Formats: sequence, structure tokens, C-alpha cells
Amino acid sequence: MSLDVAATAAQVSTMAQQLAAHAARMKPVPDFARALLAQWHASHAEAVAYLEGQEQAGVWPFAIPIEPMLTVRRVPAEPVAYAVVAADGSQIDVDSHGLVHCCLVNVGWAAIAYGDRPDAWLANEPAVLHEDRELFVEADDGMREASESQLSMLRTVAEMERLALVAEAWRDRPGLVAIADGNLVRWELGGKKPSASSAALLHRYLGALAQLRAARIPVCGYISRPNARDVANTAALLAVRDCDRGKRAVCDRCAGRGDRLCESLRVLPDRDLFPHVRVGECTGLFRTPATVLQHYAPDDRIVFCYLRTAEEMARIELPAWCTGKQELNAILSAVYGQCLRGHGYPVALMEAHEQAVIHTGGREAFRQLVLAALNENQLEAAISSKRLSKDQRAV
Amino acid sequence: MDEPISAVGEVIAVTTASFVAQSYRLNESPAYGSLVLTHGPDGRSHYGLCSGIETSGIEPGRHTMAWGNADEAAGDIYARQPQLAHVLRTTFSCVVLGYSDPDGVVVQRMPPQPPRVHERVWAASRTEAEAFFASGFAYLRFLLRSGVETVEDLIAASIGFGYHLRGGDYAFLVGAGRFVASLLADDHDRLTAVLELLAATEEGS
Repeated sequence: MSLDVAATAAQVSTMAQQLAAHAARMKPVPDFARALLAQWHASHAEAVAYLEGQEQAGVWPFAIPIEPMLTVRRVPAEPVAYAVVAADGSQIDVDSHGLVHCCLVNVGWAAIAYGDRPDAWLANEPAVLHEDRELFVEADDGMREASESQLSMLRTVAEMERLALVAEAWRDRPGLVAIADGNLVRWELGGKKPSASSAALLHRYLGALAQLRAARIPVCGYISRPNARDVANTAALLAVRDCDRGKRAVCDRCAGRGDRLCESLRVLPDRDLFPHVRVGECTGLFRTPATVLQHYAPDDRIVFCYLRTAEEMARIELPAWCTGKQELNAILSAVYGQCLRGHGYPVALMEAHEQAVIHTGGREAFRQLVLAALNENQLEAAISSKRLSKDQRAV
Repeated sequence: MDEPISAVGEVIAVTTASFVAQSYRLNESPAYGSLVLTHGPDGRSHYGLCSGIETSGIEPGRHTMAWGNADEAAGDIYARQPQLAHVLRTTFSCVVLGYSDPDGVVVQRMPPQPPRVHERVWAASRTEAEAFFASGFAYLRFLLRSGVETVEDLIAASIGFGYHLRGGDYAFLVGAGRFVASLLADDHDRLTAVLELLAATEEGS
């Protein structure tokens, strides 16, 4: 049957009313947050000491400022000659109703050089995963089929490994910077007791990061329109400390509100916190006390900042060894230059994505290849009754 | 002696009477109205006439967008955006005009088989082009039936190509003009269009 539009409309209307009420409640929150940041900007050492004390509590993801809260850094001009490499991936998930239990991971990359010798290398490499050791992971209750999120972790690891390989191949290019798509903190592979398969994936990921460090190729992760709330959570933590010395009694600031301002802070994205950062500037650096970073080599532990481009506030993550003046300048100028060249998004990441993406035609080609290979080997090529039923839509 | 030449592209699609080739170099292709050849493994060469040139994105669903802005300093966009050479491609369409077998005799008629996909495409050498035009103007009849847009321009361009190849051979131009006049005897407007273009060819030489 088709969708009951009338029933849906009533719910959408309720949703919109609630969103409007939420927006009204949130209106004073950004100003409150910025006032807090300004206050703690002046007491940097005290803020750091307090936050480091909170580190063990591990309640919320938050950030510890490496530099005073409101630090602003002007991004240096894009070098005349430099090079970037970027990698991205996509996948065809395991279809348990399909022909064979297998999946495909396609990693694409783009290496682009600017200056006297402009050059580009765009390519991709698919990997078909079909063996049990690739598609099943160890769980508490024995072997279990890898979930979609576990396969996407595998893809993320493959992307970082490819990034390191491509960067190595281009290491002689002056001013080379490696850009990964998304964050470099692998929260999903951490936790108190990571499974053997997660630990193995993390080991591979960290190996690739170490490879880039050994080759002295600055690397960063670029996150477009980030939803992270680490700095907002930090502001909330600091606000709670000041809120009646942690007793959390309702103070004057929250009088007349149904909720506390310091708690509302936690739903504010970090990107709304830095109106003082202008286009072509970035915030100071923050480090994140994520437990997974304990598995990272100290030099590879991830720090981040926010960079304002003409179009948006982007988050840049980088390993600690890249915070040296030379590496940081190389990363910021390359990333910002890439955004200027690429309609607001790094050109190399866009091209790596275009290399990786598997369109409908590619998906169908993969299905046909599998079908032909099964036929050639006299293997049964059957789809489930459920898939057949969905495809046929018989009346 | 012909100067040594290298292949200009590669066939990527064929039909009975035409083929499309991708240029080996972006934004470069054989001239509109010029003769090209493919050489098959059986010794047969196919003659084609370049009837259209196109440069666009390689990926079908990807739109080509302007990269610059009005205030930008001048400079080569392909140096500023080096990836463009990898995501764009130039293709050219060719009408098949005839073929020659290993004996070198040119036949202006539809070949039994079109060239193979992935066959390399060469600009016709002087000797090959002269051999083609020496076999007459029957190819102009194919062109009129080919369904190519702006076919009057294509006819004039191909005659101009032969005229210049033969060092401004006026008798060739007149012969070709007469042949076109016989083909378009009952279509005055189209004939006038071709003859005006041919007159311009002669004046421009």
C-alpha cells in the first residue's frame, strides 16, 4: 500500500512545533557559550587543570584546549607549488538475500600536484571480500557475521592504508599533504574491551598513520559540516563547575527556564561556537581525551581545530606530530587552498570520492559478474524468495 | 614521402556507417571535415570523415561546471586544476566513407564490417588522402544520406580538405562543385549554401 500521507502529515506538524520550541529554548545558548569561552580564555591554565581532572570521569566526549579557548590563527597563503593526496571509499554491502555471501569495497584516490609541473593521478582499486575470515568476526558468543558498521570500519581502514601508500608513492613531491575523509579518532574501534577483530583493524589503521609519520608526510582528516560537540561539552563542564560550585542548584542565569543552560550547551554543535573566527582563519588546537587514543602512539594522538571556509565551518583533525609550525601551516594552507579551488570542498577529496563511488551501473555490473562466474563454475545462482518477491511485486 | 604521424585516438563505439573515437589528448582532435583511417588486423583500412567533436565529462552523471570567477587572474585552467585532464575527454564522430584492402585500392562505399572498437585512429597521410580523393566524389552521396547535422558545412569542409591537400587544386574544387550540383539539383537552397562555402574556401586559400 502507499504511504498514509494524512497520518504522516500530522506527525510532521507535531515535529515542526517541537523543533520551533527547541529553537526558542536554544536561542540564548550560543551567547552563553561564547561568554563562557571568553571567561575561560583568560584563565587557560585553570581551565586545563580542571578539565584534566575530569578526564577520568569519561562521561561526555569533550576537549581540552591546547591553546587559550578563543585563539585564532590566520591560515597562511596557499603555496605556489604543493601536492595533495586524498582517499575515499564506498562499498556494496553483503546481501544475505543475494546470489553469494560477499561484498565489495572500492577505494579511490586522487593525487594532485600544483605549480610548475601540474600533475594528477586519479584511480581506484576494488576488493571483493568473500572468505569467512573476512565476513565473520569474533564475538563473545562465537563467530558472528560482520555487521554493516563493521564492514564500513574495514573500509575506513582500507582508505587510510591506501592514503599512506599513495602518499609514499608521491613523497618526493614538494609540499605534500595527505587528506583523509572524515575523522581520525577511531572511536568505534576503541572501548574498554575491544574485540579481537576491532583490535586488528585498529592495529592496521595505526600502522598506516605511523607510516605517514615515518615518511614525514603531514596528514589530516577533513570533516565537512561537523556535528561534533566536544568543545560545547567542554563549555558545559566548565559551566557546571561554576554553577553553584557544582551543586547544580538553579542559578540566576537559568531562572524562568525549564532546563539548565549548561545542559542545553550539550546539544549545541561546536561549529556554532566560534563566530569570532573569520573566513580563512581557524581556531586554536584542542586535544580530545578519547580512550581509544591510548592505543595511538603519543605522536599520533589526534588533536583538532575548526577552520572557517567561505562556505562553512570545517573540522580538521591531525596527529600531534603535525602540530609543529611547519606541518600545521602546510596542512592548513593546503586544505584551505583546496577549498578555494573546489567550490568550498577540497578538490582532492571530491575526486577521490568520484573515483570510489559505485554507481547503479557498477553495482549491476558486479551482480552480472558474480552471476557469470557462478554459471561458469556450475554453481547454483539463486536469490532468496524474499528478494524474488520484492523484485517481482506480483499482483 | 609522408611525414611519420602518430595515432590521434581510439574507436570507442561503432555502427554500420559511423564510429566514435576518443582523442588521446584532451581538447585535440582531427579537424572537422578531415579524413581519418583505422587499420584492421586483416589488412583492411577504413576511411572516416570527422563530422563532429565533443569535449565533456568522462562520468555520464557528472556535470561540467565553471571553475573560475570573474576576478581571477588569467592563466591556464588546466594548470590550476590538473585533475581536469583526467575527468574530461574529447571525442570525435566519424562518418565511414569507404575502405581500402591491402592492395591499396580505395572503394567509396559502405564496408562489409565497420572498424573494431579500440582500433586506433590515424589522421590520413597525404598519400592515403590523395588515394581517397582520386577515387572520386561518390562519398558526397553518403554524406547527404548520413543524417549528420549541418551536412552542407561538412561537405564543404571535406572538399576544402581535399583542395588544400592538393595544393589549392582549382580543377578539383570545380569538379567537386559540379558533383554537388548534380546531387542537389532539386534543392536550390542547400546547393547555394554549399557553393557559397566552397567559394569562401577558394578565396581563403
